[in-house]
Amino acid sequence: MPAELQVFLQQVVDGIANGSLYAAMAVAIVLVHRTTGVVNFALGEMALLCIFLAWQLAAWGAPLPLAIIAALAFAFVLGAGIERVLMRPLRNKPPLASAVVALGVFLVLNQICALIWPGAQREFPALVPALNFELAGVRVGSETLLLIAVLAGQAAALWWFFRHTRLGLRMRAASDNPESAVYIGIEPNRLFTLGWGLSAIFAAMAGILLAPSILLTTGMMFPILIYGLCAATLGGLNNPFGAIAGGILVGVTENLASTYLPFIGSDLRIAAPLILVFIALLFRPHGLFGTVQAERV
Amino acid sequence: MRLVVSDLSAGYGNSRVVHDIALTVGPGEIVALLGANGAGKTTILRALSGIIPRAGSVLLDDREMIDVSARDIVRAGVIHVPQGRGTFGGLTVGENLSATQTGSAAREHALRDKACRLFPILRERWTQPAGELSGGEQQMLAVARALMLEPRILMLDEPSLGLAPLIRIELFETIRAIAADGIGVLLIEQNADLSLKIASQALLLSHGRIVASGRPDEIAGSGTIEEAYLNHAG
Amino acid sequence: MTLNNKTIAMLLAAAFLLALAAPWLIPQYRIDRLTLALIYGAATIGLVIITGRAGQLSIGHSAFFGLGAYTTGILLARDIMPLPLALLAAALAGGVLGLVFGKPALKLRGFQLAIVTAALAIVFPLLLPRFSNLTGGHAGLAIPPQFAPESWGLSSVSWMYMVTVVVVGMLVFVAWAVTRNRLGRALDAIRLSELTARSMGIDVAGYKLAAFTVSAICAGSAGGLYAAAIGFIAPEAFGLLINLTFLAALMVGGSRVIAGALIGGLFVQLVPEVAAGLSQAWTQLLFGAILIVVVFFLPGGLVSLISIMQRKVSRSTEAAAATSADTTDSD
Repeated sequence: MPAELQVFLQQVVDGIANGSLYAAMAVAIVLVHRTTGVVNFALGEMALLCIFLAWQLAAWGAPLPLAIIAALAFAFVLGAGIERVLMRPLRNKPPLASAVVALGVFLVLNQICALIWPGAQREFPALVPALNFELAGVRVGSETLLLIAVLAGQAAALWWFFRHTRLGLRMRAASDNPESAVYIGIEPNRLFTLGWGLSAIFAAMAGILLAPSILLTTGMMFPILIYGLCAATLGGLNNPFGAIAGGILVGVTENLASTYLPFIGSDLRIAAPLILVFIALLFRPHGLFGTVQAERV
Repeated sequence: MRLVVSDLSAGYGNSRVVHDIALTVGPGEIVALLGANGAGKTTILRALSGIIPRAGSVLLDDREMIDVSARDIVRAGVIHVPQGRGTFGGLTVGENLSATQTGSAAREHALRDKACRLFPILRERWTQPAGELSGGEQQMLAVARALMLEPRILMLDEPSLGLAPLIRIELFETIRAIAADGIGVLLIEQNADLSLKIASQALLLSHGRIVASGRPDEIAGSGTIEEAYLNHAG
Repeated sequence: MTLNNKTIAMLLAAAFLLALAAPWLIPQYRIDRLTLALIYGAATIGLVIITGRAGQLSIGHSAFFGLGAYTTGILLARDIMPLPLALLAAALAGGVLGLVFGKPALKLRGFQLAIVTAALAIVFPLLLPRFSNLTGGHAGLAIPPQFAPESWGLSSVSWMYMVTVVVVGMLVFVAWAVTRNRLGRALDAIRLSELTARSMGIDVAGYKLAAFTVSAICAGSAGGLYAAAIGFIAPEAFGLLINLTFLAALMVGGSRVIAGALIGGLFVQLVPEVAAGLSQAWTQLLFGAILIVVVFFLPGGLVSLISIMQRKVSRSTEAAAATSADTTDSD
């Protein structure tokens, strides 16, 4: 295989690896939006708190799997709690109100982490033994494979949940028409709270998968959130598979642009997916795979 | 199952829209609720299904329902088909029907078959999103969906709104058949003629109060209907 | 006391003159703070128009602010233009970028619009180091302090303050002009329902773009003032996060009223002052908490306190009138 092609393929594979991470966050964003119609800007920081919690439990001697499970359980409580207390009262208010509160929660959670765990340089323990696999000259790390496996599992679980379970169907009904859902005995409020709890778990999973490969800092989830938002927007905000496709697209675009476009280089790498989203939205305002939702007058 | 309502008042926010409502729906009875727009008919149904604040007494076979939650009212068998149908446009016909179910799959199948026998068109449209159905088909879906919940009292708000005349007649025949099964029906209809044809009792609502009640032929003959509709323009 | 237009105009003129007189009334270090408060208020005035009235959430105005800052900064640092022209250039630069970006962007709504404006906010500071010969790159750009004509005998702090008051006064006037009567009602209609507004014959796209451009002009002007007042600018100051400061100013002050923007600007300057003893983390946490608390307890912002108090006063005067009527009505 010629060297240029190998480099290209490596970049693509690395892009897919990064993209899987963004996709995992995007799936969480889509889950919240699909069930409650709100974009949760605070998802990244919710995950951040859970990551630090998992780290702390492990640092105190808990076995890693237990620490992670505890952190995910906390994620559910955090997500559900925030919806119940802060977002539910705002459901009939203009969307600006929920957006501002979500941004406020973003700041508060972020700084709570900064206050409880000040300073820098914490390392999250590895989730899998560090192994590298090579196929046709293209390298893939074991962490990446884990990430892709988890992502595939998440997507499959979500798909099965929405398509083939009673609860998933009722959640779809509740978000399709919350006013009417009441007439058939559904309580949309409870389902929305559940949706936030589940999406917090998904976001926390994304963060925990990321954590071993970088230092734990309060800013670590921010780029993931941005990329996740790009991916979710590209994919159409209501479609988990669109979110995954979007995530992969964002990851690959970011990598290829940074490698092959000298103007972008590595400091402007975040610009590439952002510009991609902008252009995509101009042609398809509802995302590449989104469906138009009728506006109720 | 028998529904006995007395002293019912209900409203939105701080204002009361309906006052001193009393009515009875027995098994197999069809009670027509008539009145001009804004008289408060929908408010009564909403109060009975528990989604707006209300006071008074709502007895379902001697069980007091006035403080029961909307979800438990549905569970008790009082099902409300709202104006505008309230179907889930983004879900398929089949999913609309299944969304009602929390029990066993076998029961669901039985209920589905029964609903489809009444409305065979639904089988044809089974995998289509409900939003793509015609008005009449959506209305049938809404009623079928209500039937999936095994109602003992079925409340219909303007089921014939926007439907072609032939479909209307078909629909009302179906309502008659449903009542014949022993289900009590409370029916709101702007179109007084059709509802009076199938109802065993009629109530006339004006400005939030019942101003006349009795057998359909009594009400139709007395001229109070025109009065009530005309007065409301003021 | 009822406020008719003439009274309001007189009050505003009085406030304006009082503001100009401040350098002789208040110590210099407070003047500095006041200038910054007014600058943030100026940027927020733009948000009142586009977000508060027209209902379009933009978290990208930091880009217009930054563009204005660098425009004025470069022009002053290289002594190309005097201050007034450099500020005008900042306003124009903001307006042009607002127009060019807004035309495609405003086709999107709600969350999609928010994310593309966020994209703008993220990309802008990343572009600055690319033109480091102009912008000074990461090291930043130093701007010489600005002085009034010699004979006026003003310190540069006082001079910048007065220039800021004048520019903010102009922006307030412009904002008032574009949000009054029919124009303002059109924006309100758009906020409440674009579909309904369009069916009423309102040129929704045109109004949105106009509002967006005016708001970008406000942000650009504010940025120009910022550069001249602070004397040193660097890319980090113009990232995504300052949009949250603007948003806080908008919500705390009162998102639909121009005065709210200025009150909000004062507020966001006060918080770091009050929190001066606390670490940066607590300040940011405070900001976040304030955003949440304001939405829940004071959605109309601090300006709404006035109408709340007015209502309480009128209710108690009604009650007093009623009881006095009772006592006189005794036969």
